[in-house]
Amino acid sequence: MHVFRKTLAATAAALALAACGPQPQPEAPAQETPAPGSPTPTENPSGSADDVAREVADVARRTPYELDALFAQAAKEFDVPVSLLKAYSYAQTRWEHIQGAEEFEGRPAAFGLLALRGDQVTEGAALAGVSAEAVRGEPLANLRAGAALLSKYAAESTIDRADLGAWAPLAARLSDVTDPGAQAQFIHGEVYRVLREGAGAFTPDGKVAVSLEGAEVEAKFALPRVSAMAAGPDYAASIWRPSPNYNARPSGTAVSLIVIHTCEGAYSGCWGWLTNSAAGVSAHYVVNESGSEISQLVRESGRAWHVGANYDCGLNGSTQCGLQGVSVNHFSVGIEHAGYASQASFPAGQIDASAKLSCDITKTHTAVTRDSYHIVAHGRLQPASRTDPGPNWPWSSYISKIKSFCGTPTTAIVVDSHQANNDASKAQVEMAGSWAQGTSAGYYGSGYYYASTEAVSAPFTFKFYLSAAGSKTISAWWVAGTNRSSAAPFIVNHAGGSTTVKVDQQANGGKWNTLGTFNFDAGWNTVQLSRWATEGFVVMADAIKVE
Amino acid sequence: MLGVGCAGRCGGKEASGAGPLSKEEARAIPGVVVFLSERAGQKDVWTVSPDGTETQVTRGPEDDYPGPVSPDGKSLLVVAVREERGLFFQQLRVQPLAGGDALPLHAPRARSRNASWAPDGSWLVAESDAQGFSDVVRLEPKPGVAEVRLTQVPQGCFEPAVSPDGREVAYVCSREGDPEVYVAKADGSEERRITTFHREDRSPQWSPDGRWLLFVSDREDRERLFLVRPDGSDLRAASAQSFAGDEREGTFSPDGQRLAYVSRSPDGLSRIWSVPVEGGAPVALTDGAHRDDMPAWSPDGKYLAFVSERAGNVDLFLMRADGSGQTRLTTAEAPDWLPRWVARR
Repeated sequence: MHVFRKTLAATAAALALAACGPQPQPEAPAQETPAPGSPTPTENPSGSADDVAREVADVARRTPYELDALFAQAAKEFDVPVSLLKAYSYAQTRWEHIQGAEEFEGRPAAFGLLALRGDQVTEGAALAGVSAEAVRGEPLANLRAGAALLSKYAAESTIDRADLGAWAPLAARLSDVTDPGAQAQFIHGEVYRVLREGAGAFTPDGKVAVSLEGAEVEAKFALPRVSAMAAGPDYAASIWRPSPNYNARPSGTAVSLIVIHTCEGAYSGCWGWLTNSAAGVSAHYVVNESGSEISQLVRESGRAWHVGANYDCGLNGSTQCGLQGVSVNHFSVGIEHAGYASQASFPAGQIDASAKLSCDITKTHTAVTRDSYHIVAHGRLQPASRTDPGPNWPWSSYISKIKSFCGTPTTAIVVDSHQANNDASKAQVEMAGSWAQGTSAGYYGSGYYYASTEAVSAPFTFKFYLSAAGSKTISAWWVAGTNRSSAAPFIVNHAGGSTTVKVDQQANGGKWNTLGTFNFDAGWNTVQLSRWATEGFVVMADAIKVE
Repeated sequence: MLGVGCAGRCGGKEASGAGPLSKEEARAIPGVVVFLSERAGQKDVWTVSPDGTETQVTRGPEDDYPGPVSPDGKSLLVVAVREERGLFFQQLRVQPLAGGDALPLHAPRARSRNASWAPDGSWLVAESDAQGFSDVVRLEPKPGVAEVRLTQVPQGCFEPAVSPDGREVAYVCSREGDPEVYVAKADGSEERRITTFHREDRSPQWSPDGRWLLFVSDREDRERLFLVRPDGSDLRAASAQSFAGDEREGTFSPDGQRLAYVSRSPDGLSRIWSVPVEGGAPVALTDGAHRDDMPAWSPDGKYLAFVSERAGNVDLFLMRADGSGQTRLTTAEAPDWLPRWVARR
């Protein structure tokens, strides 16, 4: 009980934070300008409170309806514990009414709050007296079909319906997870864990979407094998669950792509399927819904079967094993993510865990440039494809998180003269007096500011934030020209005072030019470009780099 | 069904000229729309005239993605994708729009896409992995002519676009660890860098008069459309100060005066806008209550074809360039998308 209260309270607090962020807008007239956008980064530094708020807003997008009454109705009608129905739905879809797709050949797509698949849809529909289309498309019909199936299993097994723990084998049967290890993980680690801990979700309006109170219950189901979980051979933060579904990469093949997939199902079923030799498919990694667990299934040096699946040259008389460059599987690492391409958002924890993993992969396989041409959606084909991980995968923040985890921005902060380009939590600019905007070619970012030289103190200030004191090398970028000052004074304010470095901006344009290495204190530091130089020229404030 | 959102039809506020286009008005539009349909199971290219007459152009087991229409309007580049024993192959083909066999331009391979025609139709550029991870190559629309590699960058170059005068090619390369926009002469020489920033600058497109390049950048932490001169000067955001969610799918009107583009809100809905290229306030063409994507200008610039999910399926729609007269064009249950206009001959 108290656990649920805690969950709900935390969620409510975060929801209050979220209320400071984007709000549902009244319907705008057809002809108008876009709202002046979201707040600029200056007004909206990202922080942990912000992340919590975003997470709650994301959950609300996934559960836009009040669902408690529907769960209650379906459970009562078919004499199934409502908490089981809710926990099962949470484990499968995080209470989102999903429209799944077929991700692995032979495994039908999942639908609705309960992620019903294939024959379950038709059988459940018949038992509940609705159409298969309704089971796929309507939340209540989906819940009723699932409850009817569970009720039928209960009747066949003669369990005590009042014993919540006794429903475990039936919940396992309703899932399509067949691997015993994956089944045990699904029942104990997912369905019954949420039954014990409780969970809650709100709609975007702040109403309770689903509430599940935690309760003391133990699943009557075989426990997962108690052997120590070995770490994945290439990624220590993963669990090694080797799949037989792989073969060798052609020799000399450099891994140059990471392919992002969604499982079209929950985590246990996903790795369970991919480690089953009969499935004939695999991926190198599977990341769970919250990001708390990653399975490694195939060594990165091996060729997993995640794109186009199951061509095994070993099974084809070892022919065409060396078709270098023709199979994406040859030169890619595949990451599956528990969830669905159609889902409204991806949990921040899952994105973070996946980005850390991708960073690690790019360190080993340096041909994978950290950009959206090398870290791609399953089946990406320009123009636009509609395959997983779907339209709501946060590509831009995913790629920037990978770079960030790999240390790109922590070793270098770029402060651009164009404020909108800066991450305001660590880079900002200020200007005193009149600086004009210029955009002749060769600038960094989106143009530069310039001012004529004169004996006034009206500098352009580049500010950067250091979380710890340290020695940093400062470089500057400008666009060169004959009207530039040959002694443009950059004033570096550092721990030992300030140092003025004069640079010739008539030369060395369009590249980073080192100003020197200095000791800086923790917190905000500044580098200023003064206009106090020989008159008759201009000084160029474009960008600085701190590394 | 829960009563949230739009069951059935949702009221899009009509700007003017309420109601769908009349058959007479539609019939007078000087072009037909080539599009991708999944109604046959696999992906095929179809055409639909503005009055709704549909014709299937490609068939067969492969997935056929419509590429750009040839400058003479007689044929279409198709990216044919087929799976063979678990391997995926792409092949560029020239497909006569009047029907008939497609002409494959090379052997199937893993990467062959994002093609762009020279204005006289005598050559084209595309992404190819024939000699590297991804190069910009120049090829001719006839069989047996060796393709010429315009870039040789191990990290890859992508998304080439031929300038309107045929003298230059804009493209993206990741050689310094993140994608930047470059322009080179049509033979690959005299490459110059157009953008410099440590985030992604992608998908360059030329304005019809060649005076601007449009590209997508995430430099402000969200995807946004920017304009820059082909010499790298005058960079600015296309939507000026207003910024309503990730921007994408920008496309110049045939006269080069306006841009149509899509903004995508965090809730997954998307809305089509139009903005003057020389600067000014964007105008919303669709109501933002649905997913409306992929705007494509009619040859006379007076109409836009687009994709919408407002009717439950993914279908093609038509509207006037001011957003009025929104009319459903296709009705198949399977998705219809990727519209491209071809002028009516």
